[in-house]
Amino acid sequence: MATEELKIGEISKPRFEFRTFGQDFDDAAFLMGRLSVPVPQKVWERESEEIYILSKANDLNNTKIRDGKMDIKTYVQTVQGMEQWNPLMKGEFPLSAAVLKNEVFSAFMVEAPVLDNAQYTYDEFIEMVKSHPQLQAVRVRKERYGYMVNNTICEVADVYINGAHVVSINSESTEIDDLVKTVNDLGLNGVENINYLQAIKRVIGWIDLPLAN
Amino acid sequence: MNTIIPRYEYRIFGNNLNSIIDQLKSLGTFEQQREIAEIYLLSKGNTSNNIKIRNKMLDIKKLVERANNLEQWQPFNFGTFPLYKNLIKHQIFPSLDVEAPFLEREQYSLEQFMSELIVNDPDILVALTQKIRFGYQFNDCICEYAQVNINGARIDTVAVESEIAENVLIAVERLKMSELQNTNYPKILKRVLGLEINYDIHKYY
Repeated sequence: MATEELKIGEISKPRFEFRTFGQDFDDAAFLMGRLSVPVPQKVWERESEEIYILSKANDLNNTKIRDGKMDIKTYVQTVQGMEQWNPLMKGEFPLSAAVLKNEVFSAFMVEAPVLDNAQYTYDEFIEMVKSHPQLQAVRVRKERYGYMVNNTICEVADVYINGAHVVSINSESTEIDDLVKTVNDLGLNGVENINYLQAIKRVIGWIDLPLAN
Repeated sequence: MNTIIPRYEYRIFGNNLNSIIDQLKSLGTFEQQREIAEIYLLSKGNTSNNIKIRNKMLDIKKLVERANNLEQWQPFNFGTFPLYKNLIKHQIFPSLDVEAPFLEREQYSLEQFMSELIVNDPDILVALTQKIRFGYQFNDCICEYAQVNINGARIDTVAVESEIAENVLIAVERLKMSELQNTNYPKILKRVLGLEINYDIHKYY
């Protein structure tokens, strides 16, 4: 079967992902840089400020707000240790009450508050999150450095979770075999696959588990 | 309970404090490097008590006053686990500004205290910290810079402490720390854990 050639920044079929978080991935990052083919300049370095909305009731939907847009991905499956996530919804503020109730709060797996208005701004939405006992907004700043190894999209990132620094390293692909090879080639075999939701919940003290190092 | 003379303190946190750390290295006298693990107990309501456990010993620093942009803290050592239920009920939980649960035991080991009274209380958050601290003397003040891992995420800190406020103020100026906000440990831990957050929307457009 012919494999799909991935292009950074372009939409593909749902990808599998290996990602981990910790303080020191210098060796893997060095290998990633050496093994990478040249990548488009636009992905050499990217910076973003994002808000993640965490729910105590849910580890299956990953909700973040970037550039005023809400983006929810949902967990599909894990195959050979690689996680597959699919886009669930994308929306721009203001969001309608129907979307908030049926798509956003249902993704949090918590009861929606009473929604009297037809639509809600970002500020109004954040107020709902702040007053909800099972939800929490977390500020995440990312400085991401893109690579391409074994036809998988890779990155190393400095991530600041509510201002505290962690390093993340990852590889994404539609093809499991390429991903497994890349994780091996980067010396990350045996390192725990930790997604963003898990990492943030560990740092903010919701899950009593360490990061990978 | 042992008491120590309260000290004035100025502490900053950040991800790029290198110029201030270099200043401390060049002006101060290096004393010692220490690596320590500490458990901080936090709650939304408590802003004036710094509650931590180190080497099974529970310490509470109580905020005495804020003056001239400094904070004066009085440390109290509540002893080593196991701790008696009266102390837990009448000192520790009130310091957290959280109602104490029913205490079945006469005394609690650290493990019993954490697993039975703390980790499942929805009003209490726990921060596990690992610190690498570099201690200095400067201007008759106890100074340090440290790398602090908070539940695995790192932030750096620089601090100046003394029983004499004037000494701290001079040291802070000479180390060029004064442009950064004086921020105590409970405050930064609450920010990282999300109990205090700046939702400034403009950065997200």
